[in-house]
Amino acid sequence: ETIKNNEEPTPITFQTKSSPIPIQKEFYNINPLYLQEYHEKEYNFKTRAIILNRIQDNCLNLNNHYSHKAIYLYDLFLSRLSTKTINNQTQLRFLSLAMIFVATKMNAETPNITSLLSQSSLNMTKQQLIQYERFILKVLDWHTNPLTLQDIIFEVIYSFYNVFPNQKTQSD
Amino acid sequence: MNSIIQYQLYLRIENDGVFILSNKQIYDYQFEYNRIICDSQILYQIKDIIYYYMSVLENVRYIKIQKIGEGAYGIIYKAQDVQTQEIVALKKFKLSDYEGVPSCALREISILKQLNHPNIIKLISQIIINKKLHLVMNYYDKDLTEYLKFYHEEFHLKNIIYKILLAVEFIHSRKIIHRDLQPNNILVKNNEPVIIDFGLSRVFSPNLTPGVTQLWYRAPELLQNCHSYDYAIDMWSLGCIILEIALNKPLFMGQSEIHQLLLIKNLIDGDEWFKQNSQFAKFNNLFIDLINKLLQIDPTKRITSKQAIQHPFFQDQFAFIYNNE
Repeated sequence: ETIKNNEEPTPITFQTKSSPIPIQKEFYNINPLYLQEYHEKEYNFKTRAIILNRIQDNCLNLNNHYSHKAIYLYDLFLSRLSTKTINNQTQLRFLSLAMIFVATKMNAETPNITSLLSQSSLNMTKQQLIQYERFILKVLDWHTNPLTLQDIIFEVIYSFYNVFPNQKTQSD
Repeated sequence: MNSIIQYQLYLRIENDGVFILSNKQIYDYQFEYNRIICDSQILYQIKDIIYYYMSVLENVRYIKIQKIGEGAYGIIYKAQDVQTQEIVALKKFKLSDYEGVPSCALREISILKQLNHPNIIKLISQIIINKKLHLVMNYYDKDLTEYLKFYHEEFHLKNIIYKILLAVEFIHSRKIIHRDLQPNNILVKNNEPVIIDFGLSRVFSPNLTPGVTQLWYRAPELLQNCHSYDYAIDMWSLGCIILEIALNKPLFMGQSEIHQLLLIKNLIDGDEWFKQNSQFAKFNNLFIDLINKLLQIDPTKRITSKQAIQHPFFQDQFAFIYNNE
């Protein structure tokens, strides 16, 4: 049937349809009040701050520029988790390390697991890291590519240096 | 029932969900919840046993028909969905114990989940079974290279060019660089193109690896080993692909990076390079203008995908690739 249709050329209209609103928002929306869904003794703003600090430190040790993505995924994960109970604080630390692992994989080459594990002062095994990765992917339903403000800033800086190449040599 | 006695089989369920049915041979059954992937020949042989033990065949979801491709990442199979009778493509990745999910699979899945467009391949589902990751995607039998081996009406070609540009504009508007645009990664069905293979795609970032895209479609800034580039590299690949559609042969066929760069510099020399070349003489002026804007050596002068879809070549309904005379 399709071949028959092709014999009579119908005028093709060339119009743009794509919308400027990214679909990203549906999947990657973090409930800003998700912390309140946890028991305050188990997880609060203070514990979150400690974990974020650890993520920053770990990324700094590895010379990894993607801590912002790991933090975004960490918050997204905790807001998407269906059972909002945390039995053990080390779980959160394991989780933060696995987040760095996933975020780096998304954006750069696969990180060296041994160096990632050794520089963190955690007793985490390779199997545990890979199990955590599976768990993260299951909860996030493989949505591991968030767009953060940092990405937009990178792009703005890049286009700025394209227009003003002299500024780049000065800043170096 | 007879066959069960005949085979003298026993069945074992392992903790990660693998059925091993063994007689002299061992058959591996891989399943997750209600999905099983198995080879069609084996299925035929032991269909009765599966019926008996699992009581229903509905647990079998995809049956592999044949192997259709192989790459560094894994193998691609043509398969049939038992429930819907639909033909699908299965892309298989191995999960290693040292690296977990391969980064190319992770990127491909997470990016395809964001991109919902008629001209971009649809990811139906992803299944992890027995340390192997399977991506289930729609099946298309022809890629652009094979499509161009036959004669096609010009308005179809123009439609394909426009639809590819629309899809790329969609990808770029979501801040993603495809990084592997080439005719083999564009499939065609009913004169509609579909972009596949997002294994190299990623979000824009200040430090990127230059060794991406197939050599013939690689942009000059990548050939010069530049570590900061942007969406313009996709536009160069598109320029090469569009000219390939018009000329019916690849534009630059370099053997090495230096050879490729030399071919580019030889052809594109000055602003009026297309006028000196006889093979472009039969082309429409608007088409040549589009090509000239896409194939700019300086990435900042190259037009963006958004500007490309608003190019007068697409606004004019009667402008085709070749002059009408």
